[in-house]
Amino acid sequence: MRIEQDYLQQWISYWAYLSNDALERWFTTTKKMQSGKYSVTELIGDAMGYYGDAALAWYALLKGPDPTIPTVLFDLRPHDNTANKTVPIFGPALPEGKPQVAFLEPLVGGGHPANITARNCLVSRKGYHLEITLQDLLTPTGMSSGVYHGLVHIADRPVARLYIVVRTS
Amino acid sequence: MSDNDAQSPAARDPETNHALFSVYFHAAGLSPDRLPKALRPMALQDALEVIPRVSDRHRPLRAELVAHQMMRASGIDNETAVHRGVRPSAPPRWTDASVDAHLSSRLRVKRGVVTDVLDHARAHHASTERCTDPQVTSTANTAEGSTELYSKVKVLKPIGRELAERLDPRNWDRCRDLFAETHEVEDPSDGRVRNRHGGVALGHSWKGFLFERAEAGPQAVENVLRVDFVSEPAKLEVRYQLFRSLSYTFGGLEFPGIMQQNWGTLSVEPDATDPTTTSQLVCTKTVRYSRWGGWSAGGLVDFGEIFNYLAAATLPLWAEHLSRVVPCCA
Repeated sequence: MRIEQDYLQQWISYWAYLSNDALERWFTTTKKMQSGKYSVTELIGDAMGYYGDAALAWYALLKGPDPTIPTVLFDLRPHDNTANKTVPIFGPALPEGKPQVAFLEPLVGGGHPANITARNCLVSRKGYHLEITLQDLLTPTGMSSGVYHGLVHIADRPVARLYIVVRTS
Repeated sequence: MSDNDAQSPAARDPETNHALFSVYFHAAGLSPDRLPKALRPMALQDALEVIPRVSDRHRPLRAELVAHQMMRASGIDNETAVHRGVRPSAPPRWTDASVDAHLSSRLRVKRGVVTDVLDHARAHHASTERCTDPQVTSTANTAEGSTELYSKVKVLKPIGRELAERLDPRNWDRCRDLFAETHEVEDPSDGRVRNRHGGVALGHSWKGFLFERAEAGPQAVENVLRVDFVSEPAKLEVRYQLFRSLSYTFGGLEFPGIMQQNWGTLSVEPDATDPTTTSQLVCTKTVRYSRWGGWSAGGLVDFGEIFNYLAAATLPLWAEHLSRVVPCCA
Protein backbone atom coordinates (compact mmCIF):
# COMPACT_ATOMS: atom_id res chain seq x y z
CA MET A 1 0.00 0.00 0.00
CA ARG A 2 1.33 3.35 -0.93
CA ILE A 3 1.08 5.63 2.08
CA GLU A 4 0.67 9.36 1.66
CA GLN A 5 3.62 11.22 3.03
CA ASP A 6 1.32 13.79 4.59
CA TYR A 7 -0.60 11.13 6.50
CA LEU A 8 2.52 9.70 8.15
CA GLN A 9 3.71 13.17 9.03
CA GLN A 10 0.40 14.00 10.61
CA TRP A 11 0.38 10.89 12.73
CA ILE A 12 3.92 11.50 13.91
CA SER A 13 3.10 15.09 14.68
CA TYR A 14 0.17 13.92 16.78
CA TRP A 15 2.67 12.12 19.02
CA ALA A 16 4.73 15.30 19.05
CA TYR A 17 1.61 17.11 20.22
CA LEU A 18 1.17 14.53 22.99
CA SER A 19 4.77 15.00 24.13
CA ASN A 20 4.30 18.74 24.13
CA ASP A 21 1.06 18.36 26.07
CA ALA A 22 2.75 16.12 28.64
CA LEU A 23 5.53 18.66 29.13
CA GLU A 24 3.07 21.52 29.54
CA ARG A 25 1.06 19.54 32.09
CA TRP A 26 4.26 18.72 33.94
CA PHE A 27 5.35 22.37 34.14
CA THR A 28 1.89 23.44 35.34
CA THR A 29 1.84 20.63 37.91
CA THR A 30 5.31 21.54 39.20
CA LYS A 31 4.28 25.14 39.71
CA LYS A 32 1.13 24.11 41.55
CA MET A 33 3.00 21.61 43.72
CA GLN A 34 5.52 24.27 44.71
CA SER A 35 2.74 26.54 45.84
CA GLY A 36 0.92 23.66 47.56
CA LYS A 37 -2.19 24.03 45.40
CA TYR A 38 -2.06 20.68 43.59
CA SER A 39 -4.76 18.29 44.74
CA VAL A 40 -5.50 14.60 44.27
CA THR A 41 -8.53 15.53 42.15
CA GLU A 42 -6.30 17.47 39.76
CA LEU A 43 -3.86 14.58 39.63
CA ILE A 44 -6.65 12.22 38.58
CA GLY A 45 -7.96 14.80 36.08
CA ASP A 46 -4.52 15.26 34.51
CA ALA A 47 -3.90 11.52 34.31
CA MET A 48 -7.29 10.82 32.74
CA GLY A 49 -6.95 13.73 30.30
CA TYR A 50 -3.54 12.58 29.12
CA TYR A 51 -4.68 8.96 28.92
CA GLY A 52 -7.64 10.10 26.79
CA ASP A 53 -5.43 12.06 24.39
CA ALA A 54 -3.06 9.13 24.07
CA ALA A 55 -5.92 6.72 23.41
CA LEU A 56 -7.14 9.02 20.64
CA ALA A 57 -3.84 8.55 18.85
CA TRP A 58 -5.00 5.08 17.77
CA TYR A 59 -8.25 6.50 16.54
CA ALA A 60 -6.19 9.13 14.72
CA LEU A 61 -4.40 6.33 12.91
CA LEU A 62 -7.73 5.22 11.46
CA LYS A 63 -9.07 8.72 10.96
CA GLY A 64 -5.92 9.97 9.23
CA PRO A 65 -6.61 8.74 5.70
CA ASP A 66 -10.11 10.23 5.76
CA PRO A 67 -9.86 13.33 3.57
CA THR A 68 -13.39 14.63 4.22
CA ILE A 69 -14.01 17.75 6.22
CA PRO A 70 -17.29 18.56 7.97
CA THR A 71 -19.92 20.55 6.13
CA VAL A 72 -21.72 23.12 8.24
CA LEU A 73 -25.12 24.25 7.08
CA PHE A 74 -26.88 27.32 8.47
CA ASP A 75 -30.56 27.58 7.69
CA LEU A 76 -31.54 31.22 8.22
CA ARG A 77 -34.67 33.35 7.98
CA PRO A 78 -34.47 36.89 6.55
CA HIS A 79 -34.70 38.54 9.98
CA ASP A 80 -32.20 36.40 11.86
CA ASN A 81 -29.58 38.44 13.74
CA THR A 82 -27.09 35.73 14.61
CA ALA A 83 -26.55 31.97 14.54
CA ASN A 84 -24.10 29.55 16.06
CA LYS A 85 -22.87 26.04 15.30
CA THR A 86 -20.17 23.80 16.71
CA VAL A 87 -18.64 20.90 14.77
CA PRO A 88 -15.90 18.38 15.63
CA ILE A 89 -12.67 18.90 13.70
CA PHE A 90 -10.64 16.02 15.04
CA GLY A 91 -7.70 14.93 12.92
CA PRO A 92 -4.40 13.23 13.63
CA ALA A 93 -2.81 16.63 14.13
CA LEU A 94 -4.06 20.12 13.53
CA PRO A 95 -1.60 22.86 12.69
CA GLU A 96 -0.94 25.61 15.21
CA GLY A 97 -2.90 28.77 14.65
CA LYS A 98 -6.35 30.23 14.74
CA PRO A 99 -9.06 29.10 12.35
CA GLN A 100 -9.86 31.62 9.65
CA VAL A 101 -12.53 32.10 7.01
CA ALA A 102 -10.80 31.79 3.64
CA PHE A 103 -13.82 33.12 1.75
CA LEU A 104 -17.55 33.51 2.18
CA GLU A 105 -19.58 34.61 -0.82
CA PRO A 106 -23.00 34.22 -2.43
CA LEU A 107 -23.47 31.15 -4.58
CA VAL A 108 -27.04 32.02 -5.55
CA GLY A 109 -28.84 35.31 -4.72
CA GLY A 110 -27.90 36.79 -1.36
CA GLY A 111 -28.28 40.50 -2.24
CA HIS A 112 -26.09 43.12 -3.87
CA PRO A 113 -23.88 43.92 -2.09
CA ALA A 114 -23.95 40.57 -0.33
CA ASN A 115 -25.89 40.59 2.94
CA ILE A 116 -23.39 38.22 4.55
CA THR A 117 -19.62 38.54 4.23
CA ALA A 118 -16.60 37.10 6.01
CA ARG A 119 -16.88 40.08 8.41
CA ASN A 120 -20.08 38.52 9.78
CA CYS A 121 -18.44 35.16 10.39
CA LEU A 122 -16.51 34.49 13.57
CA VAL A 123 -14.64 31.20 13.94
CA SER A 124 -12.84 29.89 16.99
CA ARG A 125 -11.31 26.62 18.04
CA LYS A 126 -12.36 24.93 21.28
CA GLY A 127 -10.14 21.87 21.66
CA TYR A 128 -11.20 19.49 18.91
CA HIS A 129 -14.25 21.55 18.07
CA LEU A 130 -14.78 24.45 15.75
CA GLU A 131 -17.31 27.07 16.79
CA ILE A 132 -18.77 29.12 13.95
CA THR A 133 -20.83 32.20 14.75
CA LEU A 134 -22.64 34.39 12.27
CA GLN A 135 -23.14 37.80 13.88
CA ASP A 136 -24.73 41.18 13.19
CA LEU A 137 -26.72 39.85 10.22
CA LEU A 138 -29.80 41.99 10.05
CA THR A 139 -29.96 44.59 7.31
CA PRO A 140 -32.61 47.34 7.70
CA THR A 141 -35.04 45.46 5.46
CA GLY A 142 -34.03 41.90 6.29
CA MET A 143 -31.71 39.66 4.29
CA SER A 144 -32.35 38.62 0.69
CA SER A 145 -32.88 34.94 0.07
CA GLY A 146 -29.95 33.02 -1.34
CA VAL A 147 -27.20 30.50 -0.73
CA TYR A 148 -23.66 31.33 0.39
CA HIS A 149 -20.63 29.09 0.55
CA GLY A 150 -17.29 29.40 2.29
CA LEU A 151 -14.27 27.61 3.67
CA VAL A 152 -12.71 27.61 7.13
CA HIS A 153 -9.05 26.65 7.52
CA ILE A 154 -6.25 26.49 10.05
CA ALA A 155 -2.96 27.36 8.36
CA ASP A 156 -2.88 25.17 5.22
CA ARG A 157 -5.47 22.68 6.47
CA PRO A 158 -9.13 23.10 5.49
CA VAL A 159 -11.28 22.27 8.52
CA ALA A 160 -14.88 23.00 7.55
CA ARG A 161 -16.97 23.69 4.50
CA LEU A 162 -19.62 26.30 5.08
CA TYR A 163 -23.06 26.70 3.50
CA ILE A 164 -25.57 29.34 4.51
CA VAL A 165 -29.10 29.23 3.21
CA VAL A 166 -31.32 32.28 3.70
CA ARG A 167 -34.94 31.38 3.13
CA THR A 168 -38.00 33.54 2.72
CA SER A 169 -40.43 30.81 3.76
CA MET B 1 -30.16 20.55 62.09
CA SER B 2 -29.78 21.26 58.39
CA ASP B 3 -31.38 24.13 56.51
CA ASN B 4 -33.65 21.64 54.86
CA ASP B 5 -34.90 20.44 58.21
CA ALA B 6 -35.72 23.99 59.10
CA GLN B 7 -37.64 24.62 55.91
CA SER B 8 -39.22 21.30 55.09
CA PRO B 9 -42.29 21.51 57.37
CA ALA B 10 -43.37 24.72 55.71
CA ALA B 11 -42.61 23.27 52.31
CA ARG B 12 -44.83 20.25 53.03
CA ASP B 13 -47.77 22.26 54.27
CA PRO B 14 -49.55 24.45 51.71
CA GLU B 15 -51.68 26.10 54.40
CA THR B 16 -48.60 27.27 56.31
CA ASN B 17 -47.01 28.52 53.13
CA HIS B 18 -50.13 30.44 52.29
CA ALA B 19 -50.28 31.87 55.80
CA LEU B 20 -46.66 33.05 55.66
CA PHE B 21 -47.25 34.55 52.22
CA SER B 22 -50.38 36.27 53.52
CA VAL B 23 -48.55 37.93 56.41
CA TYR B 24 -45.77 39.12 54.10
CA PHE B 25 -48.38 40.41 51.71
CA HIS B 26 -50.29 42.33 54.35
CA ALA B 27 -47.10 43.57 56.00
CA ALA B 28 -46.00 45.08 52.72
CA GLY B 29 -49.33 46.87 52.42
CA LEU B 30 -50.17 45.33 49.06
CA SER B 31 -53.61 45.22 47.55
CA PRO B 32 -55.05 41.73 46.94
CA ASP B 33 -57.27 43.03 44.12
CA ARG B 34 -54.47 42.61 41.60
CA LEU B 35 -54.09 38.91 42.24
CA PRO B 36 -56.09 36.02 40.78
CA LYS B 37 -58.64 34.69 43.26
CA ALA B 38 -56.74 31.46 43.91
CA LEU B 39 -53.64 33.39 44.97
CA ARG B 40 -55.25 35.98 47.19
CA PRO B 41 -53.94 36.06 50.75
CA MET B 42 -56.01 34.97 53.70
CA ALA B 43 -57.02 37.53 56.33
CA LEU B 44 -54.11 38.58 58.53
CA GLN B 45 -55.72 37.39 61.73
CA ASP B 46 -56.44 33.98 60.20
CA ALA B 47 -52.84 33.76 59.03
CA LEU B 48 -51.57 34.50 62.51
CA GLU B 49 -53.67 31.64 63.81
CA VAL B 50 -52.20 29.20 61.30
CA ILE B 51 -48.53 30.06 61.84
CA PRO B 52 -48.24 28.84 65.45
CA ARG B 53 -49.56 25.45 64.35
CA VAL B 54 -46.46 24.80 62.25
CA SER B 55 -45.48 21.34 63.35
CA ASP B 56 -41.82 20.54 63.40
CA ARG B 57 -39.41 19.64 66.11
CA HIS B 58 -38.68 23.29 66.85
CA ARG B 59 -42.22 24.13 67.60
CA PRO B 60 -43.16 26.17 69.55
CA LEU B 61 -39.98 28.26 69.37
CA ARG B 62 -40.24 28.57 65.60
CA ALA B 63 -43.88 29.51 65.71
CA GLU B 64 -43.28 32.01 68.47
CA LEU B 65 -40.39 33.70 66.74
CA VAL B 66 -42.01 33.74 63.33
CA ALA B 67 -45.20 35.16 64.79
CA HIS B 68 -43.26 37.78 66.67
CA GLN B 69 -41.25 38.73 63.60
CA MET B 70 -44.33 38.89 61.42
CA MET B 71 -46.19 40.93 63.98
CA ARG B 72 -43.44 43.49 64.18
CA ALA B 73 -43.26 43.71 60.41
CA SER B 74 -47.02 44.02 60.21
CA GLY B 75 -47.25 46.63 62.93
CA ILE B 76 -49.71 44.48 64.88
CA ASP B 77 -49.82 45.32 68.55
CA ASN B 78 -49.44 42.74 71.26
CA GLU B 79 -53.06 43.08 72.42
CA THR B 80 -54.37 41.88 69.09
CA ALA B 81 -51.87 39.08 69.13
CA VAL B 82 -52.81 38.05 72.66
CA HIS B 83 -56.42 38.04 71.64
CA ARG B 84 -55.61 35.65 68.81
CA GLY B 85 -53.42 33.55 71.07
CA VAL B 86 -50.11 34.06 69.30
CA ARG B 87 -48.40 36.51 71.59
CA PRO B 88 -44.78 35.60 72.27
CA SER B 89 -44.35 34.26 75.79
CA ALA B 90 -42.23 37.13 77.01
CA PRO B 91 -42.29 40.02 74.55
CA PRO B 92 -39.86 42.35 76.35
CA ARG B 93 -37.24 39.60 76.21
CA TRP B 94 -37.24 39.67 72.42
CA THR B 95 -35.04 42.52 71.39
CA ASP B 96 -33.89 42.89 67.80
CA ALA B 97 -30.53 41.41 68.73
CA SER B 98 -31.98 38.39 70.48
CA VAL B 99 -34.43 37.72 67.66
CA ASP B 100 -31.57 37.90 65.16
CA ALA B 101 -29.45 35.57 67.24
CA HIS B 102 -32.21 32.97 67.52
CA LEU B 103 -33.23 33.22 63.93
CA SER B 104 -29.72 32.80 62.64
CA SER B 105 -28.32 30.27 65.08
CA ARG B 106 -31.27 28.01 65.80
CA LEU B 107 -33.66 28.39 62.94
CA ARG B 108 -31.13 29.14 60.23
CA VAL B 109 -33.26 32.01 59.00
CA LYS B 110 -31.75 35.44 58.86
CA ARG B 111 -33.88 38.47 59.57
CA GLY B 112 -32.46 39.95 56.39
CA VAL B 113 -34.43 37.36 54.43
CA VAL B 114 -37.67 38.68 55.86
CA THR B 115 -36.59 42.27 55.22
CA ASP B 116 -35.53 41.46 51.66
CA VAL B 117 -38.86 39.84 50.88
CA LEU B 118 -40.72 42.82 52.28
CA ASP B 119 -38.52 45.34 50.45
CA HIS B 120 -38.93 43.47 47.18
CA ALA B 121 -42.69 43.26 47.65
CA ARG B 122 -42.87 46.99 48.43
CA ALA B 123 -40.74 47.89 45.41
CA HIS B 124 -42.85 45.75 43.11
CA HIS B 125 -46.01 47.23 44.56
CA ALA B 126 -44.66 50.73 44.03
CA SER B 127 -43.82 49.90 40.41
CA THR B 128 -47.30 48.61 39.70
CA GLU B 129 -48.74 51.80 41.18
CA ARG B 130 -46.67 54.05 38.90
CA CYS B 131 -47.03 51.99 35.72
CA THR B 132 -50.66 51.21 35.06
CA ASP B 133 -53.06 49.89 32.48
CA PRO B 134 -50.73 47.35 30.85
CA GLN B 135 -51.65 45.65 27.60
CA VAL B 136 -49.57 42.82 26.19
CA THR B 137 -50.07 40.77 23.05
CA SER B 138 -47.69 38.08 21.87
CA THR B 139 -48.18 36.26 18.60
CA ALA B 140 -46.44 33.27 17.07
CA ASN B 141 -45.41 33.94 13.48
CA THR B 142 -45.51 30.44 12.04
CA ALA B 143 -44.19 31.50 8.64
CA GLU B 144 -40.97 32.92 10.10
CA GLY B 145 -40.85 30.59 13.11
CA SER B 146 -40.61 33.63 15.37
CA THR B 147 -42.69 35.19 18.13
CA GLU B 148 -43.71 38.84 18.14
CA LEU B 149 -44.69 40.90 21.14
CA TYR B 150 -46.47 44.21 21.45
CA SER B 151 -47.00 45.83 24.82
CA LYS B 152 -48.26 49.19 26.01
CA VAL B 153 -48.34 50.71 29.45
CA LYS B 154 -49.11 54.10 31.01
CA VAL B 155 -46.26 55.51 33.07
CA LEU B 156 -47.34 58.03 35.65
CA LYS B 157 -44.32 60.21 34.96
CA PRO B 158 -43.70 62.85 32.29
CA ILE B 159 -40.88 62.45 29.77
CA GLY B 160 -37.86 64.02 31.39
CA ARG B 161 -34.44 63.38 32.78
CA GLU B 162 -35.54 60.75 35.31
CA LEU B 163 -37.39 58.61 32.78
CA ALA B 164 -34.61 59.02 30.21
CA GLU B 165 -32.04 57.78 32.72
CA ARG B 166 -34.18 54.83 33.73
CA LEU B 167 -34.88 53.73 30.16
CA ASP B 168 -31.29 54.16 28.99
CA PRO B 169 -30.38 50.51 28.20
CA ARG B 170 -27.17 50.85 30.22
CA ASN B 171 -29.41 51.32 33.26
CA TRP B 172 -31.82 48.41 32.70
CA ASP B 173 -30.04 46.47 35.44
CA ARG B 174 -30.74 49.18 38.01
CA CYS B 175 -33.53 47.19 39.67
CA ARG B 176 -31.65 43.90 39.26
CA ASP B 177 -34.78 41.88 38.74
CA LEU B 178 -34.54 40.21 35.32
CA PHE B 179 -31.52 42.11 34.01
CA ALA B 180 -28.58 41.13 36.20
CA GLU B 181 -26.11 43.20 34.23
CA THR B 182 -26.23 45.68 31.34
CA HIS B 183 -23.39 47.92 30.21
CA GLU B 184 -21.91 49.45 27.08
CA VAL B 185 -19.15 47.53 25.32
CA GLU B 186 -16.70 48.22 22.52
CA ASP B 187 -17.43 46.99 18.98
CA PRO B 188 -17.31 43.16 19.43
CA SER B 189 -16.82 42.32 15.72
CA ASP B 190 -13.46 40.74 16.50
CA GLY B 191 -15.10 38.29 18.90
CA ARG B 192 -13.97 39.97 22.11
CA VAL B 193 -16.39 41.68 24.47
CA ARG B 194 -14.69 44.57 26.29
CA ASN B 195 -16.32 47.13 28.54
CA ARG B 196 -16.50 50.64 27.15
CA HIS B 197 -15.60 53.40 29.52
CA GLY B 198 -16.34 57.09 29.25
CA GLY B 199 -19.50 56.96 27.14
CA VAL B 200 -22.08 59.75 27.12
CA ALA B 201 -23.89 60.52 30.37
CA LEU B 202 -26.89 58.38 31.33
CA GLY B 203 -30.13 59.47 29.73
CA HIS B 204 -28.50 61.12 26.70
CA SER B 205 -28.70 59.81 23.13
CA TRP B 206 -26.08 57.21 22.21
CA LYS B 207 -25.50 54.51 19.66
CA GLY B 208 -23.36 51.45 20.20
CA PHE B 209 -23.20 47.98 21.68
CA LEU B 210 -24.75 46.72 24.90
CA PHE B 211 -23.82 43.63 26.90
CA GLU B 212 -26.82 42.16 28.71
CA ARG B 213 -27.10 39.29 31.15
CA ALA B 214 -30.65 38.26 32.00
CA GLU B 215 -31.36 35.74 34.75
CA ALA B 216 -34.53 33.82 35.54
CA GLY B 217 -34.26 31.00 38.06
CA PRO B 218 -31.39 28.67 37.16
CA GLN B 219 -31.24 30.05 33.62
CA ALA B 220 -29.19 32.94 32.31
CA VAL B 221 -28.59 34.34 28.84
CA GLU B 222 -25.81 36.66 27.74
CA ASN B 223 -26.13 38.71 24.58
CA VAL B 224 -24.56 41.64 22.84
CA LEU B 225 -27.10 44.01 21.32
CA ARG B 226 -26.66 46.77 18.80
CA VAL B 227 -28.50 49.71 20.37
CA ASP B 228 -29.65 53.13 19.21
CA PHE B 229 -30.99 55.20 22.10
CA VAL B 230 -32.66 58.49 21.21
CA SER B 231 -33.42 60.90 24.03
CA GLU B 232 -35.36 63.99 23.03
CA PRO B 233 -37.51 66.40 25.08
CA ALA B 234 -40.74 64.93 23.73
CA LYS B 235 -39.68 61.40 22.89
CA LEU B 236 -37.54 58.53 24.11
CA GLU B 237 -36.77 55.60 21.85
CA VAL B 238 -34.58 52.51 22.04
CA ARG B 239 -34.04 50.52 18.86
CA TYR B 240 -32.16 47.28 19.44
CA GLN B 241 -31.17 44.16 17.58
CA LEU B 242 -29.12 41.15 18.54
CA PHE B 243 -25.49 41.41 17.49
CA ARG B 244 -24.41 38.04 18.91
CA SER B 245 -25.92 35.56 21.33
CA LEU B 246 -22.99 34.81 23.64
CA SER B 247 -24.18 32.01 25.89
CA TYR B 248 -27.04 30.20 27.53
CA THR B 249 -26.46 28.88 31.05
CA PHE B 250 -28.56 26.36 32.94
CA GLY B 251 -27.36 25.76 36.48
CA GLY B 252 -23.62 25.26 36.23
CA LEU B 253 -23.69 24.26 32.55
CA GLU B 254 -22.83 26.81 29.89
CA PHE B 255 -23.82 26.37 26.26
CA PRO B 256 -23.40 28.50 23.13
CA GLY B 257 -26.08 31.14 22.66
CA ILE B 258 -29.30 29.83 21.15
CA MET B 259 -31.04 33.08 20.29
CA GLN B 260 -31.19 33.72 16.58
CA GLN B 261 -33.48 36.76 16.49
CA ASN B 262 -34.01 39.43 19.13
CA TRP B 263 -34.95 42.85 17.83
CA GLY B 264 -37.47 45.57 18.39
CA THR B 265 -38.14 49.00 19.84
CA LEU B 266 -39.09 50.64 23.10
CA SER B 267 -40.60 54.08 22.73
CA VAL B 268 -42.12 56.61 25.09
CA GLU B 269 -44.30 59.53 24.11
CA PRO B 270 -46.49 61.89 26.14
CA ASP B 271 -49.89 60.36 26.85
CA ALA B 272 -52.64 62.07 24.87
CA THR B 273 -54.99 62.32 27.87
CA ASP B 274 -52.53 64.00 30.25
CA PRO B 275 -49.19 64.79 28.60
CA THR B 276 -47.84 66.81 31.54
CA THR B 277 -47.89 63.96 34.07
CA THR B 278 -48.29 60.74 32.08
CA SER B 279 -46.39 58.98 29.30
CA GLN B 280 -47.24 56.08 27.04
CA LEU B 281 -44.60 53.35 26.74
CA VAL B 282 -44.83 51.02 23.74
CA CYS B 283 -42.64 47.97 23.37
CA THR B 284 -42.20 45.67 20.35
CA LYS B 285 -39.98 42.63 20.24
CA THR B 286 -39.40 39.67 17.93
CA VAL B 287 -37.48 36.58 19.02
CA ARG B 288 -36.54 33.27 17.48
CA TYR B 289 -34.39 30.51 18.96
CA SER B 290 -32.20 28.19 16.95
CA ARG B 291 -32.36 24.42 17.22
CA TRP B 292 -30.35 23.14 20.16
CA GLY B 293 -28.25 20.56 18.40
CA GLY B 294 -27.94 18.22 15.48
CA TRP B 295 -28.63 15.19 17.66
CA SER B 296 -32.29 15.93 18.26
CA ALA B 297 -34.38 14.02 15.79
CA GLY B 298 -37.68 15.82 15.72
CA GLY B 299 -38.76 19.38 16.28
CA LEU B 300 -40.80 18.48 19.33
CA VAL B 301 -37.87 17.24 21.38
CA ASP B 302 -35.39 19.93 20.47
CA PHE B 303 -34.60 22.22 23.38
CA GLY B 304 -34.32 25.32 21.18
CA GLU B 305 -37.67 24.55 19.56
CA ILE B 306 -39.23 24.18 23.00
CA PHE B 307 -38.05 27.74 23.71
CA ASN B 308 -39.82 28.80 20.51
CA TYR B 309 -43.06 27.09 21.58
CA LEU B 310 -42.91 28.76 24.99
CA ALA B 311 -41.86 32.19 23.72
CA ALA B 312 -45.43 33.49 23.44
CA ALA B 313 -45.86 32.79 27.16
CA THR B 314 -42.45 33.92 28.39
CA LEU B 315 -42.12 37.16 26.42
CA PRO B 316 -44.81 38.95 28.46
CA LEU B 317 -42.59 38.41 31.52
CA TRP B 318 -39.84 40.30 29.73
CA ALA B 319 -42.29 43.02 28.70
CA GLU B 320 -43.55 43.24 32.28
CA HIS B 321 -40.02 43.89 33.46
CA LEU B 322 -39.01 46.41 30.83
CA SER B 323 -42.26 48.33 30.72
CA ARG B 324 -43.20 48.33 34.42
CA VAL B 325 -40.21 47.50 36.60
CA VAL B 326 -37.46 49.40 34.76
CA PRO B 327 -39.25 52.75 34.46
CA CYS B 328 -41.10 52.51 37.75
CA CYS B 329 -39.16 50.51 40.34
CA ALA B 330 -38.39 52.37 43.56
